[in-house]
Amino acid sequence: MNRKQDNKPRKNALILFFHKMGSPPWFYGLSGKLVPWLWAAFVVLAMCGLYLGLFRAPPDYLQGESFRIMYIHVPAAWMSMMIYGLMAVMGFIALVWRIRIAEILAMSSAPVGAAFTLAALISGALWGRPTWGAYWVWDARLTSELVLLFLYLGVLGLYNAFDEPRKAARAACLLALVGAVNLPIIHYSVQWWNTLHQGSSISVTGSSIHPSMLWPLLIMALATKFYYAANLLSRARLMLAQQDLRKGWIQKALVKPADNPLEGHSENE
Amino acid sequence: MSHAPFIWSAYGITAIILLWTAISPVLRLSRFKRDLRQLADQEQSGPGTIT
Repeated sequence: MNRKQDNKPRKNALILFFHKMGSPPWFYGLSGKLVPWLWAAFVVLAMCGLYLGLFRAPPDYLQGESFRIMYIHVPAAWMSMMIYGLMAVMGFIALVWRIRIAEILAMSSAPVGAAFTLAALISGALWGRPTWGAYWVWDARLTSELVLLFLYLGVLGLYNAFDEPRKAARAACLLALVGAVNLPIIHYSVQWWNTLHQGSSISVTGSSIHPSMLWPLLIMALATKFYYAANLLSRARLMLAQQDLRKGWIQKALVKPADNPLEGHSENE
Repeated sequence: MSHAPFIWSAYGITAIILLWTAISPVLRLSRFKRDLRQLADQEQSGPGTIT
């Protein structure tokens, strides 16, 4: 074996992975293989979680049956915050290191995050009516969550306002980064202000929810993570394909699948 | 007050939102692929290149 090659410093596997992820054809090929598995994991987990939550968990002694809305409301609310946090992190990476895949992932996160925020607000309103007697109150938690929806819509609006996608993504990433200040406000709103919305029942140290009610919630929370991953990659693939329309690799991947070793098995229609 | 309409409405609306969010990129990608193939066919039948 060549001695020079032996003395070369070995690249960290993680750094190598991120370098590869920065390559559009590699990202497109890998994500295309992952997406069906992520959707399958979501469907299986969501079916288990919904079955346990809707049919096996006992009714709550105070809220009755309406507590079952928690199995979609709580994971959706968690996802709305988690996705915004990730969007801000990817936006930061895109702004500092100018990595195009990070821009694409940040911008692909926005519609999914907006969907979860909308679902959290609507399911929360439908839980509030039988429990509080009102669909909506201008409570700190509800209001800050509504502001989160407006932030998502602002990011999407700003991204679509520019003709040049990279310039649009940079402007939208900056807004995403600034808007991240709302995340601690949402999280601590129930502690900082006297709110109608209840405090957290689950923390790192434990939970006040009975295991029969807790497990379906945790399964649904995990299912929504797979939903986000699958949806994010589907959107990122589309955005990447649209941006690289004039490039040879995307035409090979989409127009002549047989010529492309990455896509040959999956893109045939 | 029966809670069933609130529960099923919450699940139904969430399902519609998440289903649409999941399906829309798939529909857009298939439309994009079709347009790209049409462009490639035109390129094959006529002069000029896409690249």
